[in-house]
Amino acid sequence: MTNIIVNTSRFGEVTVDENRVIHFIEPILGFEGTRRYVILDHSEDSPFKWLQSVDDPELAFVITSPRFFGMEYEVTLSDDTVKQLQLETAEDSVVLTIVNIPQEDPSKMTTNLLGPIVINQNIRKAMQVVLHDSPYSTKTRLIPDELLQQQQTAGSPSVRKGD
Amino acid sequence: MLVLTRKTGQKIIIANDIEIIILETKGDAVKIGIEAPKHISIYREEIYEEIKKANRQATEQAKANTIDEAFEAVTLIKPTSPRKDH
Repeated sequence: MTNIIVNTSRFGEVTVDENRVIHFIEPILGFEGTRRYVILDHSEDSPFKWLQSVDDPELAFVITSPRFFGMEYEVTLSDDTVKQLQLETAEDSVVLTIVNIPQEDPSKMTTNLLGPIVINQNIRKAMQVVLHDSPYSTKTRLIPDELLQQQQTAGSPSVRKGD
Repeated sequence: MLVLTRKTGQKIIIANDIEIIILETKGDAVKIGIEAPKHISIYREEIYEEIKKANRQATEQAKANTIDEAFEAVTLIKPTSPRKDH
């Protein structure tokens, strides 16, 4: 086991096992300069993780699994993608999506279901897959407005003490 | 830009291993088939641009470090039944 040091603008120097480095066989679109990333935990119980570039300290994405949010999210990969990622069974793969958290209202966070990150967890190869002919969007709300409103209503003391 | 005129069923060959065939034309829509080595990514332009933009936005927003606030918002939401609204 060999450790490497990853410089990050958020967490300073992070030591990770070299075997945790994920190689992107195609770069994440718009970030052609880096292909090596590590996944760092956010905090215990958090549905979010960081996808941190090994080569660029500034570059990190917040990622999640849409299933955590109760979404029925299914990704069908093309034969070419399956070959490129050397996937033998569905269990080899992990599908995560990039989260966009608006500064002005973090509760209105969205995720990109059209361009998921698919990882072969056995060999730690990954790519951002662009789903052709799919109904998914790049900006799906993780917490829909109805749920936010319910939560606000339920959280209000006057309602709780009601009758 | 190289401009070529093709009829339905005719092909264009690029660099020996990429084939583009005109399958069908209907009004202003053209159906194109592309055969290329699997390491060559092919996108519809508008989707390519949209995903690129979404990626850039996500990293920009991530710099503001609002992940803790987002997590807090999640913890306030009760577990829900499966959704199909995306």
